[in-house]
Amino acid sequence: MTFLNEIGVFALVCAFVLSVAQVALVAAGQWKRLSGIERYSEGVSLAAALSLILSFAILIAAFVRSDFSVVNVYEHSHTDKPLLYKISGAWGSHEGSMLLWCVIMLSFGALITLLGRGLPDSLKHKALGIQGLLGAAFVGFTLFSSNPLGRLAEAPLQGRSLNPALQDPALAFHPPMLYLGYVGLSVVFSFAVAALIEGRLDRAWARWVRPWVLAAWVCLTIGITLGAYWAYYELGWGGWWAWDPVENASFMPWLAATALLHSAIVMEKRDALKAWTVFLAILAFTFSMMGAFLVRSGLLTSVHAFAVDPQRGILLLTILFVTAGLGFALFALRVPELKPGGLFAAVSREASLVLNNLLLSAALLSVFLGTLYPLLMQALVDKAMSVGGPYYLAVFGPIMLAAIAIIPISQLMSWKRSDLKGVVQRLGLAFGVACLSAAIGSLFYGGAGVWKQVTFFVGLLAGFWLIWGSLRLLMERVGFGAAAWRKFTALPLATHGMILAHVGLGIFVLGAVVEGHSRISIQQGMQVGDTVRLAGYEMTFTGTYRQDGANYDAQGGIFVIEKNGRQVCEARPQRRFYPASGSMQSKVWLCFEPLNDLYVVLSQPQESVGGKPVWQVRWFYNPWVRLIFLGPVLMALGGVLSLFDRRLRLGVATKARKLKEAV
Amino acid sequence: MNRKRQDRVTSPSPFMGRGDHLRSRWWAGPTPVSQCLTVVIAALAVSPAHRSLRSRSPLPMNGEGERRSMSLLAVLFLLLLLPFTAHADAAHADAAHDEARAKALYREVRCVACQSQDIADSDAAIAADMRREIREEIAQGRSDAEIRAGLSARYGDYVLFRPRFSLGNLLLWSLPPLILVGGIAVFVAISRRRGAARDYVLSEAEEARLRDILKNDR
Repeated sequence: MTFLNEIGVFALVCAFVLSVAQVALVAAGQWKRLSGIERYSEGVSLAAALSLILSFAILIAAFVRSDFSVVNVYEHSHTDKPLLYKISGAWGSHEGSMLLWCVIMLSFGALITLLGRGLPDSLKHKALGIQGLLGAAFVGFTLFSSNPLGRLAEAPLQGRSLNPALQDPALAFHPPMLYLGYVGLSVVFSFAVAALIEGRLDRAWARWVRPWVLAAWVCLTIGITLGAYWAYYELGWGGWWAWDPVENASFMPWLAATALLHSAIVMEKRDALKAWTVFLAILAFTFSMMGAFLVRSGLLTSVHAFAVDPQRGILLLTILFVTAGLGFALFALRVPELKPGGLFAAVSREASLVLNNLLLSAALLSVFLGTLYPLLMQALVDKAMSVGGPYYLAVFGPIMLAAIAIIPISQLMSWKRSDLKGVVQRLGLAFGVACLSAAIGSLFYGGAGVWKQVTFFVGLLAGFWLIWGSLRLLMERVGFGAAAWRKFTALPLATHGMILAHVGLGIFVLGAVVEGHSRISIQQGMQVGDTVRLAGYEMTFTGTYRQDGANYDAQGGIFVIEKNGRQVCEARPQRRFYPASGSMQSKVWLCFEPLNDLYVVLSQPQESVGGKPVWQVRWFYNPWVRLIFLGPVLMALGGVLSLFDRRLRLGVATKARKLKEAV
Repeated sequence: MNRKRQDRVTSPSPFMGRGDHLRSRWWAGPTPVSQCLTVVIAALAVSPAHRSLRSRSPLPMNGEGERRSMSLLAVLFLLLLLPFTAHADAAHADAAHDEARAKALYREVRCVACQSQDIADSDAAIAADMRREIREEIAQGRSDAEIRAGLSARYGDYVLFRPRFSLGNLLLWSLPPLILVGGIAVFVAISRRRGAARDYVLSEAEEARLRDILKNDR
């Protein structure tokens, strides 16, 4: 099957041509003489998706077969690699990940066809046209500037292997989840542009778009969390978020999607905030594309590397500017024609969600500035500068704090007009309990300095306020009586989802505050038999061991950790040598105390003292760090619950219409 | 006092015993007695609110209830101050304060040899050197601002994770809050205008009647 890869390239070409055809059909259908032809775009979208999936399957097959005649496989794979990492190698490279992006994009186009039976035909076809346009742009980019199935003249015997740091289960699934989220927003973008062309923006539109926003948001949440978890236990630096531009690139679409999620609710329920919701829909995907541009152009590694080979970057930037420009131009043209929707008072749930959106937008802007400012300064005035954690803590932190503070209040408000005093009174107990929880928390984890104490307390208060405030809502709806369980099960899934997601956010905030505030570490050269102490634990270096892995040789240390003379765990961190790429990789060992982690990293053994090697050991005590990863999982779960709410379930409209026709 | 600080700087492992330090501080500050008091006061404070909840009146705020909830809040706010009574002996607090300052500064300084990492997290040799520099400068009594200025003079602005407030960084610092304030202002303006427009649109018949009334008045 030596020509299998050529079939893959051919399938890629087919997908490109079919995507162009999809756009052409929809465009031609706007011409009176050919009206009706646009319905063929539905079939074309399915065919395009299938051929791209075929192409991707062939790429994966090339990785699984270790076909080193393909450049991409040669550069990112190795015969000794475990199967999972051979497969994940398919999206471990620039070319492969662009192909994955396109596969998801065209598959979502097909899903518009498959799930959109309840949609009005003209809207559906226009959305398919826009989705086809995006698909054609990205498939064309992949095909012409980063062909994943390009061949080498002579096939080498062995590949260069995937970067060992990427050989990890969390990172195998991180890019697909993230891309599902990024590209899921492309469907929202397509629907927004289609609705603008149609000149029809109503509650029904918001209802069709919301499941897509929600699904994309869930995938983004999971994808970002997987990435953070990977950074936490694979990179061996004890932290989980560095405000690195690559991380920010994924966080910006998330913030935009979160704002969109909330404004779409207002649009669906109250027919208000139409222009703003559509603006956010366009903005969210623009940030997705910007993330792709930042990460895929090589701009972030160094501005100079970008200048040497700017072709890919310029192409991506062109796609970004053309599509986003098209969206925003259309928005500017059409917005004056929009009829203003439902009115609401300054104190109402709508108004509180507007405030939430403004806060999220300001937070988004701070991340955007922090990410791009150093790049701009470097490019414009050739001045090197850094924007890091302290900046975000000072600017992003207070904005998000305000956003969090209004969540419990917003949850209890009624639509149209609400009574602030009543809501505050209903929340008094929750606030009191939150204050109490935070005070007790500060007693146990508080540090030195009044300012640190205050920020720590405020952070804890925000987390507990979210949790108790959300539970207060649940309590109001369910109560404690005999009917509690019945009422609990009768609550709409969307309400359950909202409460769960907000509680999850609160749990995340608690974890982030406590971990960020009270993490302590120690770095020490140790010989076998040495003991160090940290946060009441005692760690003794008892011995070393060797292990032969599938594609690495590991050297490890055995450390016994005790608390009050009782053994808590045995840590076995490793240093792995990967002969294929000739690189070393530290493997962290995590000891799970219920919420806290004991985190042990081994560095290279150094000079011998008296014949015994000295190992550099870093040991972190990370309190409440589990919550940082548990919180987003709950948030995503809340999103999924909400997705299964009856009102949002896809196809409900179809059923209702069929029933009507039958009657 | 000063010698003690010097010891901390030159000891082979400056991190040694930091955990124990933290641990002892919990108990050195608030005594077990004050902690028990916290819990008791808190329980008392919450109980009246709990009763008002039991009574299940959604808006129970007559004068008495309001006063009670206000006193509840006052007690709770007092409680918040308890953790700040933590510092028992001044010398200990001073050393702890220096330690906290150093740790906060580590988070602001970029390890120049690493990929976007601060020197607190990095185990690179240069990061250890920079940490030592900062500790020494703190021991010499320099202020945080002086230390930052020194670092940026030696390594350039690149080394500071918190960009300085300068003309070049004006947009970076001011745009997010400005957008927030501007956004709120625009929203208020729009909703006012829209509300006003809705309230005062009259139909043609009404306009005619209005003209009649005005004419008759004259």
